[in-house]
Amino acid sequence: MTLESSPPSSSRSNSPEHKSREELVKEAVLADDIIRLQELSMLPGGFGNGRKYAWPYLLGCSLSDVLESSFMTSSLESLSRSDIIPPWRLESPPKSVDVSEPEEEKSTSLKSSADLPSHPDEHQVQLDTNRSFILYPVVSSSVKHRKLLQVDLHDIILGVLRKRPKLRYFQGYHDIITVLFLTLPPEYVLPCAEKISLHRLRDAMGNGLEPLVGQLRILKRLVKIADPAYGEVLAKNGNLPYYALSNLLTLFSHDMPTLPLIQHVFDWLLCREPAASIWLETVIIISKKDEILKLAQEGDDAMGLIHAALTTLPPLSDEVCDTELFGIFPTSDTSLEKVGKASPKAVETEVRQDDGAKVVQEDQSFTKEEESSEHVVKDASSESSRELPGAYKEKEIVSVPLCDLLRQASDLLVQYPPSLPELRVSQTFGFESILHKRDIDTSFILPALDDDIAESFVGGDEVILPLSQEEQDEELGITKEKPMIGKDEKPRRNEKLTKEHKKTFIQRLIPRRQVVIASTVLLIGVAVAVYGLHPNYRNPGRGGNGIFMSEHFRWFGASVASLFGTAAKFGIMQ
Amino acid sequence: MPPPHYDFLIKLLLIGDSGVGKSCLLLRFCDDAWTPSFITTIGIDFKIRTIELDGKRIKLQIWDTAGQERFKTITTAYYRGAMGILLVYDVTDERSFNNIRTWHANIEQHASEGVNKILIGNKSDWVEKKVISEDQGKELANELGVRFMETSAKVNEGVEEAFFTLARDIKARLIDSQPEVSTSANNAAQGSSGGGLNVNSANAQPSGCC
Repeated sequence: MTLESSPPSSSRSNSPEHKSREELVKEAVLADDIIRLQELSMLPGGFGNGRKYAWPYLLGCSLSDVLESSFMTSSLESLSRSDIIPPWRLESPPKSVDVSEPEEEKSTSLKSSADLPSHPDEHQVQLDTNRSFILYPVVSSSVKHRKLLQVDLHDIILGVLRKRPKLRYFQGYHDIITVLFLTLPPEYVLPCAEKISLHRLRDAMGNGLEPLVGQLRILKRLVKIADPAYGEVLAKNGNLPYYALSNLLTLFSHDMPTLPLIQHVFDWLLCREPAASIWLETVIIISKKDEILKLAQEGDDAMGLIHAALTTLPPLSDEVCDTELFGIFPTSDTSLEKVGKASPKAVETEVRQDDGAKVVQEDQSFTKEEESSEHVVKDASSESSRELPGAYKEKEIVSVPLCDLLRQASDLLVQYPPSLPELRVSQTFGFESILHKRDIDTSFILPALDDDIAESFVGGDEVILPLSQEEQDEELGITKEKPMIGKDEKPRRNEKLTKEHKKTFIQRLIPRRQVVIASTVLLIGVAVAVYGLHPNYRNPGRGGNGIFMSEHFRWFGASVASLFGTAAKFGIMQ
Repeated sequence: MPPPHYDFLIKLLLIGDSGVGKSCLLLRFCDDAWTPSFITTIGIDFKIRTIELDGKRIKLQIWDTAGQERFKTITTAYYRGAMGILLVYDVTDERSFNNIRTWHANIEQHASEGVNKILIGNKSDWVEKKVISEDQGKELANELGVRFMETSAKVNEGVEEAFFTLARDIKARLIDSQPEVSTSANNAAQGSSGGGLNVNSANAQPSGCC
C-alpha cells in the first residue's frame, strides 16, 4: 500500500511530502478512486476534513461547488453566523442555493418544503428531535444552543420526508441525519440527507422493519460462518440477533459516543456497499466474544445480559492528529479536543453511575478534559456494565482502536463476501432492496439508481423476499428446544405466529384490492406466454422460425403481464 | 457453585407510545436515577433488579421497548415470554392515552394468556401540562380490567409502587398458587407462563444491578 501510515501526532506537519488528509481524499475523489478512499477510510481519523468532498461524492451528489470553494464551513459553524440562513429552514424562505447537478431539480426545490404537504411521521420526528444532540456536539452546553440545533435537524428531516413522501421515518433516522448535519457544509446537508435516505436507508423506510429483520438474518448467518461455535452460542440465546438492530438501522450513529468516531465509521461505510454495516457489526460482535461466552454461563439471565452487552459498543479509540485532520476549522477543533480529552477513567466512573441505561449524563463526560492530557478520541460511555458481574465492572476498560475493527471488517468482507452462497443474500433481498446485487462493482457503492426509481422501490414487495418454510420454522424455534423468549412457550403460540407471518407476506405479495384485476392480467399474460410456447411442444424437431416465434410470443406474454402488473402496482400506490 | 441469589424470576415488559417515559421509568426503578437527556430506544433494552417481596427475593428481568409503531415487528417477539406488562402513557399527551387500546390489543394478540398488566400514566408531576385526568386513567383501566397507577419517574412518585404491585400480582398468580406453596385464592388464574419461573435456578447469577 502506498498510503502513508499513521505516524504519531508529533511528527505530523504540513511538509510537502505529507499531504494533508483532506488533500489525499480530494485527490481520490477527483480520480474517482474508490479503492483509494477505502484505504483512507481505514486510517486513524478516516477522511478527516476531506469528508466534505468524499461524502457528497460517495452519496452521488455533484461536487463542482464544493471543489471550487476554497473554504467551507460546516453546518455547525454556520449556525453561529447570523448572516447565514440554512437552506432547510421551514419558517423563512431560504436563500437560493445552487446545488450543482442539473437533474437535481428536486434538490433545489427542497427549499420549498415548507409549502409541501405535511408528512404522516412529523409528530414522531418532533418527538425524536426534541431528544437529539445529547451525545454531541459539545461546543456549548447551553439549552438554547441545543434547541437551535434541534430545530434545524427537525427541518432537515421534514425537508427530505416532504419531498420524498414514500419514505417513512424510523426512530434513529434522526441520529444519522445528525451526523450529516454536523459534518457537511450547509448546502450539502439536504441533498446528502436525501441521497443517503434513498440509496442507503430506504429498506428501513418502508412501512415496516421486515427488511431490517432480513439484515439480522444475514448477520446471524455471517457470524455462524465466521465463528461457528460462537454463532451457536449466540443462536441459543435468541433466534435473531435483535441486539444488532440499533447499529444496523442507524449505521452505528445511535450508540457511537462521539462525533469523530461516528464520522470515521461513516467514512468507512459510505465507500463500501450498503451491506458493509452487517460485516462491521459482525466484527463488533466477535470482538466481544470472551465477555459473551462468560455471560452465556449466567443461567436465566444469559439471554438478557448477552442482549445488553451486545447492544453496547466496545469502548473505542481513534488516534487522530488534529493539525492534519482538523486544523482548518478552529471551532470544531476545540470541540474535538474536548471530546478527545475526556478521560476514559472519568467516563468509566460515569458509566458505573449510569449502569448501562441508554442515557448520557449531560455534559459530564466533557467537563473532565483537564483530568487527562491524553489526546485520543476516546469515550467509553457506550460501554455499559448493565448488571455485569462484579468482575467485569472492576476490570480496567481497554479501548479498542476503531481502525482495527474497520480493518477486520474489510478483511471479513473479502473473506466472506455478500455473494457467498451460504449467506443467501440474493434469496433474502429482492431487486428493490439496497442489498440487491447489481452488475458493476462500483454501482454497489455509488448510487446506481435514479432518485425517483429509488423512491418507487421504498416499501415494495421486492425488497425483502418471503422466507422458505424451513427458514420460518427455524426462526420461530419450532425445530429448536428454546423459543425466542422464555421457556414457557406453548406450541399453539408458534403456530399462531407462523400463520400470521405467512399471511403478512401473502398479503404483501397480492394486495387485497387489486387482487382480481391483477389475477386476470396475470392469467392473460400466462396464457399468451404458454400459447407462445405451444408451437415448440407441437413441433419439437423444428428449429428456426418455430423457436423464434415461440420466444417472441413468450416475451410478448411476459411483457403484457409485467406491464399490467406494474400498472396495478402503481394503482395501489396511489 | 454459589447459592442462588433469588427465589423467583419474573419477566416484565414495558410498552407504550414513543416518548411517554418507558426508559425513564426503568432507569428510575433500576438505578434510582433520572435525567432529562434521554435518547430514544431503538429496538429493545434490558435491565434487572432484584426486589424483596413477602420475605422472598424476586429477580425482575425487565425488557424496555421502542415505542414507534414500526418496531412492533420486533418488540412483539418479546411479548410472549413476559409474565407482566406495564402499559405506559403520558398524562400530558392525549394521543399516547388514546393509543393504549391498541397496545392492549397487541397484548391480547401476542402475549401469553393471563399475563398480568398495569396501566401507567407517567409524568404526573407535570401538572400544568396534564391533559389526562387520573379518573380517565382509572376508567380506562377498569374497562380493560387492569390495575392503574399514575407515576412520575422524574420526582420518583409511584414508580416503586407500580413495579411492586405488578410483581405482587404475578407472584400471587404464578408462585403462591403453585401446589407446594399454595396459599393464594388466585389459583384459578394460573396462566400459561407458569413453566417459565425457573424457581431457584441453580446457576443463577449474583444479585441485581441496583
